[in-house]
Amino acid sequence: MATHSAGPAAPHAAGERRVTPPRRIPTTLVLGGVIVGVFVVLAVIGPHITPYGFDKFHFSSRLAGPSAEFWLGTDRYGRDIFSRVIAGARLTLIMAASGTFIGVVAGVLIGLVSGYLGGWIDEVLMRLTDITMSFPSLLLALLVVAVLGANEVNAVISIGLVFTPRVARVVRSATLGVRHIQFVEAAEVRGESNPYVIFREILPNVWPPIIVETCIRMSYAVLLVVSLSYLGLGAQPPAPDWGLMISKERAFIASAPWVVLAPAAAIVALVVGVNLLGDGMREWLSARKTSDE
Amino acid sequence: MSDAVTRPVLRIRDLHVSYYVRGREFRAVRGVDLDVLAGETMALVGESGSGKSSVAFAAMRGLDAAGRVKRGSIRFHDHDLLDLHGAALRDIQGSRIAMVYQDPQTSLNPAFRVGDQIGEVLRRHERLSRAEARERVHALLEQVNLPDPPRVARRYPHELSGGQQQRILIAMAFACAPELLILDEPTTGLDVTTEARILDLIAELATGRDSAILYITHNLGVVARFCDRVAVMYAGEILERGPVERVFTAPAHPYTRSLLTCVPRLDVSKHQRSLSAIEGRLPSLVDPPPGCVFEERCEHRVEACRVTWPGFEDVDGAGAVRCLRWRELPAFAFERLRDAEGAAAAAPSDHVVLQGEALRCYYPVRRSLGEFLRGAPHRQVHAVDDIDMQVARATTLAVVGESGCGKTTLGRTLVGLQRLTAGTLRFEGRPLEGIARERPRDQRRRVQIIFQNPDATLNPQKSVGETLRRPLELFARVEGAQAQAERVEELLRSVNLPEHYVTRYPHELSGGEKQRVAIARAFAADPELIVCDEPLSALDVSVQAAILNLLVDLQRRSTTAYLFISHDLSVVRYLSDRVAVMYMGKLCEVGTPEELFAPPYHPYTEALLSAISIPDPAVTQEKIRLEGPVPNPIDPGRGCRFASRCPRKVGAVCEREDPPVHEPAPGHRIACHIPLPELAALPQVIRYRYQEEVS
Amino acid sequence: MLHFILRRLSLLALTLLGISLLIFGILQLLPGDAATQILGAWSERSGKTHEYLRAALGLDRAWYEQYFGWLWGVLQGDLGRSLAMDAPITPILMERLGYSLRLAVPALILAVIISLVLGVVAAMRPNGLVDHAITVLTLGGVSVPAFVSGAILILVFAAWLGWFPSTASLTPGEGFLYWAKMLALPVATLTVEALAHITRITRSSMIEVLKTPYVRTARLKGLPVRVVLFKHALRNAMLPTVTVIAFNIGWMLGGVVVVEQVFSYPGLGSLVLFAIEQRDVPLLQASMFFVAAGYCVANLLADIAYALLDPRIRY
Repeated sequence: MATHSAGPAAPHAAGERRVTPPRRIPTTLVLGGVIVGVFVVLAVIGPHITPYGFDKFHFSSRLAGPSAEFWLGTDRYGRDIFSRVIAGARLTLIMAASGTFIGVVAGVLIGLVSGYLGGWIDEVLMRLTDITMSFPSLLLALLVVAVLGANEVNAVISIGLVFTPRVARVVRSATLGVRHIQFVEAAEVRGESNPYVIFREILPNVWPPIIVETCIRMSYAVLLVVSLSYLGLGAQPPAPDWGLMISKERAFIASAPWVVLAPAAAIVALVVGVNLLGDGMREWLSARKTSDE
Repeated sequence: MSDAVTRPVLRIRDLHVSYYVRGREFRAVRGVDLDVLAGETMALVGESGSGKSSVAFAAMRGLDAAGRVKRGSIRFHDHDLLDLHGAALRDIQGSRIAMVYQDPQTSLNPAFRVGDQIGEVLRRHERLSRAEARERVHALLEQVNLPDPPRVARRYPHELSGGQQQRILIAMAFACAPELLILDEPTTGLDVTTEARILDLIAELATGRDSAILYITHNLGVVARFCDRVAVMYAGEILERGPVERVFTAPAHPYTRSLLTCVPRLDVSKHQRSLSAIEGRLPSLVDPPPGCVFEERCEHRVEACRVTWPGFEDVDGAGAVRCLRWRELPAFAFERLRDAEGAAAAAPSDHVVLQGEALRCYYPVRRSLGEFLRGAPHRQVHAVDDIDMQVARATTLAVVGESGCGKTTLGRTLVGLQRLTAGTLRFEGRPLEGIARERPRDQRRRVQIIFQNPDATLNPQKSVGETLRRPLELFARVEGAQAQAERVEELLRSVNLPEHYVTRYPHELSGGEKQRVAIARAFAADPELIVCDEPLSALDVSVQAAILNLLVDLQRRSTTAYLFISHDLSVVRYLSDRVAVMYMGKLCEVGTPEELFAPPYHPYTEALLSAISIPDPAVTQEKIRLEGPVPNPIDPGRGCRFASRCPRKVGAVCEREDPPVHEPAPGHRIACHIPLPELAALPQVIRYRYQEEVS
Repeated sequence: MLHFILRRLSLLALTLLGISLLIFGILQLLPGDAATQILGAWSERSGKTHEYLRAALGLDRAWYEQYFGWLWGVLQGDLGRSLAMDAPITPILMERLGYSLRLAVPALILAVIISLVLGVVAAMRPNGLVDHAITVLTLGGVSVPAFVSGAILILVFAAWLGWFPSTASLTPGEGFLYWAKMLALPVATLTVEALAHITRITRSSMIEVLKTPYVRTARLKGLPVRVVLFKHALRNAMLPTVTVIAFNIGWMLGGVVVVEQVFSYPGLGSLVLFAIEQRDVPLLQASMFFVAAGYCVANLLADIAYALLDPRIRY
């Protein structure tokens, strides 16, 4: 008899083929998907639809307020802020996504190997991640950029480096959760090789936490990208990076708040979108898990 | 019987409970009527999904957020429980109605001392001060037979064993002398010897306080031993109710009959007959059938059963049954041993497949940093300690013992999931060494395993077909996509699954079906030995019977040997050709099942036999209860491992010296200090009424 | 318990050793060395001076000699000499640490208190109106980088309302009110960030804990809702929260860099940025090590708090 932990467990459909009930896609997932989708579209076609070039100076109308001509106003060189914000989407998204990609790929590999093999390999890898994780993430990124030089590529590398141990931890604990389940042991009894067990038996079962973690990392990546740029250690002028825009123009915040508010709104909208996507994904994947059981 | 007996403490009428999950309504309980009379023990029996726990939690007003009482009334004495709210309800909960839960480990708060968790009940309901509550808690702990109450009271739940945790929950439930005690599978997950003691304890405490009991269980054996009346539930409805004696000797409903006959009986073995299994599945609770809920799986069904919902009919003044045809059914009788004596046992083969000598498997205990610095010695858990064994072709060797005795470790060393510390294993004359990956491919093919938990045994991301094809590819017995597909279908048929299951994923299968796929996977490699690690213990009894029949059938056809690991003596009695009883890494007794179930016994075997629950009121058992804690398996010294709990301990010699091995018959070995004639003179533990009539 | 703390302390020592090695290793990758930095444009022309300076700074030694020399200094409380400021680093760091703590400690305390309350309130009725409101607010909180929230606070409270100064220029010796006024905006910025993270985790772990059998046991004992919620459930729900609080201390240390930059506040974070700009290797090495060490200590405290809350992990 199945022992349910919490008394009368909600029953599942028995008797007919247990088709997974039609899952409702969470609203948060839809909303987040739409927001992120908009930014992705902007990143692809942005430079072609902006009213002006992002680095075109309009000296006659510096720090102009929002108007029909300049929808979101202009900065101190008279550059159109609307065009710059749109053009900035591509840079921010590419940097954040590449940093996340590096961190997730490296982290997944380390986490799987460490969690499955255990022993001294696990011990060494985990001590290393402990040490890297002893740095607050922004500080480690700062250190790496300071050494390698302040530019976009190095910012991406530093983000990847900061994320790797954190992703590795999550994947390792997910792997440990699966590692001693009997279907893995069944593969070991068959004498399957380590790569087979790791990639064919374990990996397909740890996808959900990896996906959720990727979304979480992506939102941190956007925050890190703009923060590094803000501190002058990411994208360099005249790039239309949102963090850089806020940092360079903030002296004018009192007289011309749009110089700061427009890129700030873009940042917040993107991060909210990514976070909604992550929350929705988590909800959706956990709902799927319970309906499967 | 006094007048008080007829006064119902709990009166449930027309109870409907539904769960709402993702917009669908699961009608888990439909139209249940139930009375619990003062001073009696009422059993509510059913398999998983029957709704029995939902009834219990509804009566306690403790359904979780997704569950709702849709209709009906629940009266406790003069209160309508469904109308009570807030403090008025909470005044009854925990004091006048109390509950003992299924899983003591998760039901106790891990962050608080157990004494405080019990004391809380007294301080809430009897307004005791902290000091007064402490006194009472100590008295309660004394009553539930926990040694040294002041010390136990200060323990956290994780520092206690499962049996001790359950005693804490029992003490909590009895703290305010409840008028109604609801037991929700209180012994599931406990060892049989612990179960027996817990049930004795509950019976004793309930009698002392005059508490009525509603006992929720799937275990018919416990009902037979422990309860006065019984109601049998299936798919949300009660199908039969009545006094235990009548329901177990003359069950009226086909479902009750099947339940009773699908449990392997201690006087029947596989050579005599196959078990009667209930085929099919539980009906949908979203859209329950209009007629009898059991119709689909009933062997006596007629067309009317499908459309007409049967009402209750009185059964000779002893309970009632919900069946259209109960009067037409043939008289019910168990097949007794003497009915089947003619069935000859197939002569077991002498060809030894697996031979193990002086097998040892020790785990190192991790030392803490302090111990490491102090240079404390390495300590080891002696999971398997000097065991000799052999398994012959086409036979089943069962290894029985309670949790932690090392039986699973033994099985894992055979299939190469665990390295042997010492000893030699020979398989078909060749050494079987190391972990699976180090063994030759052909050896890996010939030794397979079936695991315990059907939900964990299959990779959720692989279809049944992929799962079954992998061993075919790996062990190169079948090549080519076409040939493999045919072989997979053949395997599915051999475990009685339809061929179209090839494309299904594990979450689309029931527990029994998953276990069938796991069995097919083991047989796909065409093995000579299969280690079966408690393959039935997670399944409902009706499903267990079908799987047992399947295992017997496959063995007959393939001459595969089984090493069957189990804690369930009735299953072992049915299935095995030889049995090894294991305790703390050592074998106490080895022999045929017949030898094991009759004197001379090892004292531990005797205690196990005394503790098993047999669903037959016509059986009497000697009452032997094991006291004392299970000893620590870390670095045990010399002497008999069972000495600390043995009710028949001879004296200091038991703790000082390893016991000698008696051999009362060829192949029957008992390791005990007690002289053989004394062991042989022990009374028969399990006696049937008909045997007593004969003698 | 003592045993447990000792174990963690020895682990801490090992981690700190690893951290110092890592920082040292990364800084070895810097193109050019400190001597080049000091001489700047001169370095190409004056080979001899360069050699001389290298020897004076000890840069001609093998890397391990440099490392152990530095480590030996650290053990004696000497973190080296700043090149840019030409002064011993230890007193500078101590002063800056004091300033940073004045930001971080009040922010953390505020964040923990407010977020525990919000988390429990939200979890009491998951998907209720209050829960949704709190969820939306915290979602905003985790999505706004500190320099944006700081800028908005400056815009509203400094530029428009004029209640608080936009930069925290500090004069020692002033009273509490002066400090409160100076620190209000930076502390608020830091609080918002930590608050959102801690609330989210408290809410979700509380929802999980409320589903457990032991909470049901407590409920069916007839205990009042208040006791079930705040005694039986919160105690267990705090466990993941403690971990997140420790994690937030790290995030806050990063946030401090940004916030200090936004408000031109002379704390540890702006010192790190200064060292990076000036390519002041000894100062960067020391301040990085200092911050990482502080984070490790915070983690240690969190581990101990965890062990106090959860009897299962006491050895």
